[in-house]
Amino acid sequence: MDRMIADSAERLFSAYREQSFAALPAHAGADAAPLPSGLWAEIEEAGFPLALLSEDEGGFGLPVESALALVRMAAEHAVAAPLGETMIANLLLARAGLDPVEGIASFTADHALTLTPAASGWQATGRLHAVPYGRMAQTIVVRVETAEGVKMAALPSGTALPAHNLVAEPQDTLVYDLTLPADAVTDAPALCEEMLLLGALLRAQGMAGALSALLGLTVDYANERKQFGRPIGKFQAIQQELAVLAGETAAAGAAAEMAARAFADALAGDTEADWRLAVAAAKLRAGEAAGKSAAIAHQVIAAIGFSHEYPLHALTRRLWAWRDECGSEAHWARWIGETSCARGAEGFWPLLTQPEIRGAA
Amino acid sequence: MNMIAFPPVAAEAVTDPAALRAEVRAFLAAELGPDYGPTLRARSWSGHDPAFSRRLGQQGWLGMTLPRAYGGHERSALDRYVVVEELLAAGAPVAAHWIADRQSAPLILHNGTEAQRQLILPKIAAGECYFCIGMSEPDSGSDLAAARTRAERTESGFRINGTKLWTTYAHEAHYMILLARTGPAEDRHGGLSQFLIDLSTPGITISPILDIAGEHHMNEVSFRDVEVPADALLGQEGEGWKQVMGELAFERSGPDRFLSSFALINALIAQIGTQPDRLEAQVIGRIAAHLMVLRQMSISVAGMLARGENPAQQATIVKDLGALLEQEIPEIARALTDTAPRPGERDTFAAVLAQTILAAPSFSLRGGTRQILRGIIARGLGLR
Ligand SMILES: Cc1cc2nc3c(=O)[nH]c(=O)nc-3n(C[C@H](O)[C@H](O)[C@H](O)COP(=O)(O)OP(=O)(O)OC[C@H]3O[C@@H](n4cnc5c(N)ncnc54)[C@H](O)[C@@H]3O)c2cc1C
Repeated sequence: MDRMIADSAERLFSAYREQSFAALPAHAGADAAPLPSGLWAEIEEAGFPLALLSEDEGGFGLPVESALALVRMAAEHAVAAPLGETMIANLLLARAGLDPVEGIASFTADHALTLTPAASGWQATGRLHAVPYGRMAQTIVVRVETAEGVKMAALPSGTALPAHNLVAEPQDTLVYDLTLPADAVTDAPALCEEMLLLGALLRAQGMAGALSALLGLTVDYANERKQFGRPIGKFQAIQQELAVLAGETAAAGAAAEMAARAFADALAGDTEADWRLAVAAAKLRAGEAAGKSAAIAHQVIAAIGFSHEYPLHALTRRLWAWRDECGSEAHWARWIGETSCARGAEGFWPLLTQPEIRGAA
Repeated sequence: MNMIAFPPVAAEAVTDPAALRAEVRAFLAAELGPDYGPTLRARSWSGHDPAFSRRLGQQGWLGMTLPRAYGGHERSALDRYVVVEELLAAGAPVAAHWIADRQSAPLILHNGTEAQRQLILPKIAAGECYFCIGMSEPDSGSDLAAARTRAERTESGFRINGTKLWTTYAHEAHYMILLARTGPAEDRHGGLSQFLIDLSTPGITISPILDIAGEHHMNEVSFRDVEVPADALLGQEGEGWKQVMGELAFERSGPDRFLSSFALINALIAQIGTQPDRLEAQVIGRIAAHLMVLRQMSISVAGMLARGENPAQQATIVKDLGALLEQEIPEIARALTDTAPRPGERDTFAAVLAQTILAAPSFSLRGGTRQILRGIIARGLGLR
């Protein structure tokens, strides 16, 4: 089951690799790229938007790690799709006892929305900034503080003020002034408190995927490109750089898996280890790997890699975009550091070893 | 890119790590006591205390993965991992048994004769038998296959001549696993063999080499017409190169490759206090994240060893990344605290800083230099 899903995802994403690359606007400042046509329909057809749900919740019982691997895989093929966002939005809805939604969904940690009770439900007003794929999403899940306590709202799209990140993914501001039906607002499930970390979890997976493709692309190039009569990969200076790239890629991959495992444990009800720490550490580590690795790849692939026609920038621009989304390295470092120092020196090692060694099935 | 995959450990390899960890922590707290302060901890794995090693042996925490028939405990590599990382984090004095437990025991188990196993392994598991590594020579460092120490066949065994260099704790060890040339120099790899050398054999001279801190850990070990019996040969004649590569996979794979500066991190956190400013929090958080990820990678390597796989590439990656972090720590500590290092003080932050600064250059040398490790990774990538 697991293997079959991974194989079909691999086929699906690789089929959209070129189209997704071609959809990148010629100018980085121009606008967001449209989704490759047909891609979302196929993703829905495959059931991936429900991948994080248990069977009871309407999912198909995929292990959480395998569900998150779908996000990595899409990134590996540099396929732009709001899959992770939709998966998490559906998970949040399920945790609030709501049904998953049709179509694209997103979520945001921005909670600058105001909800006031209205005659037939709630009046929603305000702006949400930098909502991933905001303009395309039919549902946006947010956490809102109201006079009646902390709520979770499932919003329709709202008026989009378009904005986009370094790799032409929508990061729109959504403007709201509308009435929500009563059943679109629920008490907030616990997970709702960690919107930023949920985004960080996705970005860590994405960066790990993009890095593994980056390593492959760069090594292949070094084996093919000849200068001074031999492949540049035969030069020790290049080999040493690529070894660093491999190390960073490996670290990002291990970090993403650490985060996925911790999140899986948390969803399964394990409260012993703090999944938030694992996710924050993973985002930080992958973000650091992203910057170092992108620099190495561009150095090795040189001028052709700096050209718009060559697919390197589909990976490096993703890495540069994602490392700053949902909390940069500095952001999470600060948070982890505060958590660590608060426990004092004697508490540091117990904190690091809190994800206890455990086996995968 | 399989070589950079760090798969999770298999469920059957894990018993109850949390219980074992609690047991080790309680043991260490009692054993080391309240006076075992930062200066002692900062020696990392070079603190030498045979009595401590023997007590670990009594606990069943040495030779953990060895078969019971050889005094071992048939525990998984993951159980061993728990014990090892706790020892390192506490800065326990593990040097006496460290090399024997880490690499000599598995090497002898895999390549030794039945007699060699019976003779040596139970003593290693008891914490009573210590080893040193006889690889490097004056003219053979990174280029290990250039080893010139020669073992010539005699009627009763071998006669050994040559010099080994930088040999850690040779002066406290009972045995050396020696890499020596048994074939022609032109046969770079095929001409090498390994020997189990009793260091009390006549003709062996062990002379101290002080490191830049003036500490005596390293030695020169010279062999002058040293006669050893035929059964000193370890493994097959001419297989020395292959065996040494297997040994290095154990040498490079553990948490000792990223926890060398751990005492300084603890001291730094103590210095900062529980309410860090923005920059302090950021720096500590980054170190924590790196350590968490390195630990996951290292656990994965232990899991691969437990499955009988050969994670040489992954171990090399962990060691390369680990040394980078270990060497960054003193620089970070300086930047954050504006403290001048003070060697010789007891348990001050400045003293721990001094110790770590003076140890740090070795982190990317011992066990293979940074450049050599990266060459190995590049080979794994198919570049050479
Ligand atoms: C604290 C400490 C403990 C040690 N303990 C032991 C021990 O117990 N037993 C033992 O056998 N050895 C031990 N060593 C030795 C260690 O293994 C060697 O120092 C190491 O292998 C490097 O050899 P070298 O010092 O001769 O440097 P060299 O090999 O001479 O290298 C010098 C420099 O050249 C670089 N270099 C060499 N070849 C290449 C190449 N092909 N490509 C690019 N760069 C290259 C190296 O990376 C290094 O930067 C220890 C070393 C230290 C520092």
